[in-house]
Amino acid sequence: MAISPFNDPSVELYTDDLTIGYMQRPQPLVVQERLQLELRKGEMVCLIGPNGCGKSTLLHTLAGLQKPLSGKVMLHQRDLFSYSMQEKATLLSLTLTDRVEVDKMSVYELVSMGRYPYTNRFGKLSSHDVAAVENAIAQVHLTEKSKWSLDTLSDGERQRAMIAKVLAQATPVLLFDEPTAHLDLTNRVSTLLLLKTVAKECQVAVLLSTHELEMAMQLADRLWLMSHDEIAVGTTEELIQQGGFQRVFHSDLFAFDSQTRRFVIHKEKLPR
Amino acid sequence: MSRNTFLFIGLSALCVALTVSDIAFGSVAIPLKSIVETLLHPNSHGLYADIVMQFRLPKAITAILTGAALSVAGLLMQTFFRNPLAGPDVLGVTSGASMGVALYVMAASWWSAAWVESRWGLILSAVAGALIVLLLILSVAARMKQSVTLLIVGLMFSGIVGAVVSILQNLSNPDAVKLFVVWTFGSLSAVTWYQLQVLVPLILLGLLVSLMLQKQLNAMLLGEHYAQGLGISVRSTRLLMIALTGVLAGATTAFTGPIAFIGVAVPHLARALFQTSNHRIITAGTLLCGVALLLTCDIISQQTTYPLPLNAISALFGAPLIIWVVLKQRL
Repeated sequence: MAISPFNDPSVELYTDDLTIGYMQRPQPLVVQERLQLELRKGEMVCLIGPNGCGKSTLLHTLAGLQKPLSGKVMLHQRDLFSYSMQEKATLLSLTLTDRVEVDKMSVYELVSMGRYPYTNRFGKLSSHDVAAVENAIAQVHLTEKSKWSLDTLSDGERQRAMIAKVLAQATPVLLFDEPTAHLDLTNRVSTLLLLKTVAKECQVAVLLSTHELEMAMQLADRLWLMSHDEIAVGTTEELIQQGGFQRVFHSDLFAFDSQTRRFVIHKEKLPR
Repeated sequence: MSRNTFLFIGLSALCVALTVSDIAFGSVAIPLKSIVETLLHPNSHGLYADIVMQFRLPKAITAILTGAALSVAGLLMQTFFRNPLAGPDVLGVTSGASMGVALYVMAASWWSAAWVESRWGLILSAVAGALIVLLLILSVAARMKQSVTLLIVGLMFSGIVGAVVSILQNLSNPDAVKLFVVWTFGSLSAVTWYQLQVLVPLILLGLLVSLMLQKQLNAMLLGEHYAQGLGISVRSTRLLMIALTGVLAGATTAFTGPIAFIGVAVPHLARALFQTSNHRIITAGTLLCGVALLLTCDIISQQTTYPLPLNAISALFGAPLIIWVVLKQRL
């Protein structure tokens, strides 16, 4: 029997003829149609594409925050919407772009919320939960600052604390919406490297959307290159060979140089 | 002993001391010995015993319940809207209660002022007003996507109610207007033992459920999407928070009249004291701070021979407290 997402044990999540968009009157607003995508354990997938092509819509749909217009999202061979909230929270997590504004909450308190799907009504942590929280904080190198309040952290540290929260949640599928937004170069690189390490070491499926094209090309195990009407899936090499980047990021201001894998601004566009 | 344990013990002791002071000090000072004797033998009679049993003790109990209920309701709303300015009155429940009372007092004045005297009429009309607004708010909340929608709707309700009350005042006779204005001053002293039998279980239930919700409330602090991602049912948590606020703020307002600022101010005080937003600690902390602050306000308001309006005292204390906390935190 041929290997398909239906029986491949390394596939954590796949979509079946998924159409995403918004229910609207008089007719639904379709963002992307007939998507066949899959996320595998141990792999980091980067979702890239221009603004407004539907990256966030896709992530929200994959996380079950919004309903697909048609088709299915299958998580561990079951329809995403057949799970209870709590079951889903043990299998899949989504980290959003919006900044969490909480006064007086420590890193430790935030990360221990990641254990909520596993704890009782009062959120009492067992020794196993405490170990998971401490481990997660250590993984993002915040052990020294675990008692610090979130509002005293830098943007990079804050992002790492949010990552630690989903690591403590220990879900096999981790989704991130623009985890590198608002960060400086060093923090962007270290955040992406951290997520890659997490995918490899914890053998989980990581999907993140980003505008860091050149970094994504270097780090991703697979790219989902999203244009306004389709998603091309492949490794960086495959997509370069198919001319995907040139097609999706088409502009008269710059061009993609497939030799150096960089986007170069046309000389004549520079002001004199 | 951790800092929080120390604070909890200190605050509890303060609340007990303030309760005793609230019973002891007033237009007539009562010696501690007589208070203890009365509490040990509640059926005894005498001047001091009568003052304590008929007047001071039910008032102190009302102060404790009201302080706890309004503060916890304020905390619930601040968590709900993730906004430090929210309070128990943002949903319009307090305005709803005022409208009920205004309609009852002033509409009744058109035909007869005699049966307005009964206190139960005031209470029932306030409950009815609060309930109607609460049901309207819940039906809006069940449909809305964003919390901020509710904030706007609540504000608009308050506006409508204010308008209706003005029109009623314009049409009513001066006695009825005075009765309504006195109700808006807020008073703890009009609550009888019989009425406490209704108020006590209602408030205790509301407080207990709020204390049990710590996990959901913490998750709500992160925002709706993250709360959902942690396996919390945002919709039912939201409806529960609204219902709890309605019960806590609506019931106390019905029995005591509107009491300003406690609900907005106390959660800030508690967060500054305990240095955390974690509901595991802050719900109980807010409850104790609320009890202590309202008892203090009540002690102050009864120092003059003619008691001062509680609502004025609570605002006089609450507003500078918010200013102090805000300046201390942000500077």
